[in-house]
Amino acid sequence: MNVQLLELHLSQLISAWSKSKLNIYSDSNKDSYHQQLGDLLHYLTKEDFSKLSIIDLEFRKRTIDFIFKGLEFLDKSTLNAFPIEIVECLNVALNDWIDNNDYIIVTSLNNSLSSFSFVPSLDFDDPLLLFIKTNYNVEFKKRLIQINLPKSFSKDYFANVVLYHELGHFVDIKYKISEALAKVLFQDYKNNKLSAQEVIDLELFFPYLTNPEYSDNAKLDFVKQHFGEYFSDVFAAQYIGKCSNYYIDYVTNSNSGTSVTHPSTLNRIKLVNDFVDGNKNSIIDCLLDATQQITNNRTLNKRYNHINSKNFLQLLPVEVTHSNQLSSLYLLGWELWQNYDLQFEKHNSMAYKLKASKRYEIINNLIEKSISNYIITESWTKSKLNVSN
Amino acid sequence: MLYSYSVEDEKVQIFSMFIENIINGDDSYKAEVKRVLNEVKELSLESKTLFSIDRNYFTIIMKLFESNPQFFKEVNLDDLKTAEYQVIEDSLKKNENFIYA
Amino acid sequence: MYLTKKKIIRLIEKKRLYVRPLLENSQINEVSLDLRLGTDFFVSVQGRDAYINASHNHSEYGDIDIFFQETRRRIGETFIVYPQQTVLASSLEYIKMPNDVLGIISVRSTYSRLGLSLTSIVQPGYTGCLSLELTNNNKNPINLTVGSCLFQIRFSQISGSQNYFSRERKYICQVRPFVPSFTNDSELAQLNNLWKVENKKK
Repeated sequence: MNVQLLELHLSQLISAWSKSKLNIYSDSNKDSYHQQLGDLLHYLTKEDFSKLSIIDLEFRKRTIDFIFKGLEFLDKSTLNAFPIEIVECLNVALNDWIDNNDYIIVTSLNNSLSSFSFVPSLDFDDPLLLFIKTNYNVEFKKRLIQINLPKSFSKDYFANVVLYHELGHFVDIKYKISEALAKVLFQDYKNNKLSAQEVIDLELFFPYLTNPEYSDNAKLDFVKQHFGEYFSDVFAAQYIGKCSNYYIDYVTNSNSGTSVTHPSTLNRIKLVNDFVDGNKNSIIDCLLDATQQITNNRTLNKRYNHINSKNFLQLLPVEVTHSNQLSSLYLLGWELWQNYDLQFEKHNSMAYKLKASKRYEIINNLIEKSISNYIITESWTKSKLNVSN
Repeated sequence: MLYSYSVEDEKVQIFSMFIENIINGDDSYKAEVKRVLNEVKELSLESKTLFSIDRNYFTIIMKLFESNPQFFKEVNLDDLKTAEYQVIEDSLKKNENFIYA
Repeated sequence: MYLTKKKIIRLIEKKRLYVRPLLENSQINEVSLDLRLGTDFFVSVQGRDAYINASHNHSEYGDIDIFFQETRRRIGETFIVYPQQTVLASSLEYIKMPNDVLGIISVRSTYSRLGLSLTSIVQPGYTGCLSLELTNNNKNPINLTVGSCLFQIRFSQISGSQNYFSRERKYICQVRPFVPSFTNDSELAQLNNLWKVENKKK
């Protein structure tokens, strides 16, 4: 570890900080977090790196990286343009799995069309935070989580179903569900501890298990990776049913091939269909069981309802009365799109046929306004309660 | 997943640095290290499973367990010697190239 | 004939007029309904082109979009309208009009006294948030609160019923303001042809 390079790194951070130190955030949590980053930087600038051991220098390097990451997340936050409606829906799902007060959501719109992701700035209980607390007495009680969305799809509620899958990855990584399950199942498979049906299902969804060209290590790596994808698909299906299947199927051209990172699309669709339809499937049983054990009794189960399409057909936003109805709006949109038979035209005495692009716009707008009205009404009601107290 | 690899790898590095500090006489992280090693011991003794060990340190626990399960079964965590901390640190450095992605 | 409070309420109860969300019933006045400032705005900005081209005659000039910047606020946050600035805003409320009622929108007097102006109509059968063009005629910037009752709509009964969808509509189920587009305007296309013929241009 070179002290000069570390000092260069710190100088770069000081320069980056000077551009962001006057940032004002409407969210007080972001403000506090930003303030804490500033405090931490202040302590770093007071240290003499030349007097520190190599290990201590390593810690400082990582601390500087941590501050940079935090600044990057906060500075990129584009809440003014990012649809808060999407954040609200994802927040509801996140709350089912992670304690509400542990995180701050920041958002970013990106140019890349595939940039759907959930990224934490740091893992929830990263040991680096213990170092920071021990050495500088700065305790970061909350974590930044960045939701990334392609700019072109920022108002597209058809494409944004992918974010539920990404949230699934986030939850999976936090709890290490697929990783643990993959190890356990692979071991049991190798040791012939599985039932006949379990073996059949395992070999169906992980077809390379029977391929002698792959070593056990390679197979285990694939299984871990693919279990992550299967978990995320089932996780998403809790909230949006089979919606993500429609999109994945289209984007991958119903791909029947397996890659290093992803199972075949056909297998992914089958797994989601089995989960939603309640079909017998050992892989789903394993996912359910592992999830429940690991997450202290949080369960993978259907968390959506079918909303009557009457409002949408009348070109009206739905009056959402509970947060658990929000993700169901995505389903409503997709089902209307997939089963469209001139319903808008018929229900509204339209003298002409709507173009598909207009229909797309209408459904997206109605979903957005339904969510937006819920947020507004909830805020309004809460504020009245505050006043009366 | 690139994220998964880099974040987990960093955690292993930092934990390794905690142990290095203990070896050098700094006890600031001893309690935390002991807590993690206890998880490894419980896994070795089968009083915990892969589903019940600490999730945050899962990668580190598995790495240590898989490298030397017998060691962790037998080690007395209340009285760890410097040499034993060295064994633990060496276990963390083993198989540094294993891949999550 | 403007509809009174009783008639407005009856239209809502009979599900002929929809107002979503109607946060307070007190928004319904004796002869009008108060509407709130919505969360989305298009602010006019200096564009790269020399002027906003509302014609097809000089098509080398680009989209009108470049003269507007989109921004959002949450309900309860504030938004500043600068002197002589025109801002495209929308109502918080999503409205569906009956087929036999016309809406006339204006700024409430509390705000019009500050120099804010707007007049617009809402066609029978219109469905969506109301897109509004706010202009600040004051010499000072005005700081507005998103969600405040800035506008009012008066409802006028028309004779007979009009089908809003009797012809193809550009604006259906709008939930935010929109920058106008003249690209597909058939009238302007015809005028452009006329101009080309008159000026012997190809």
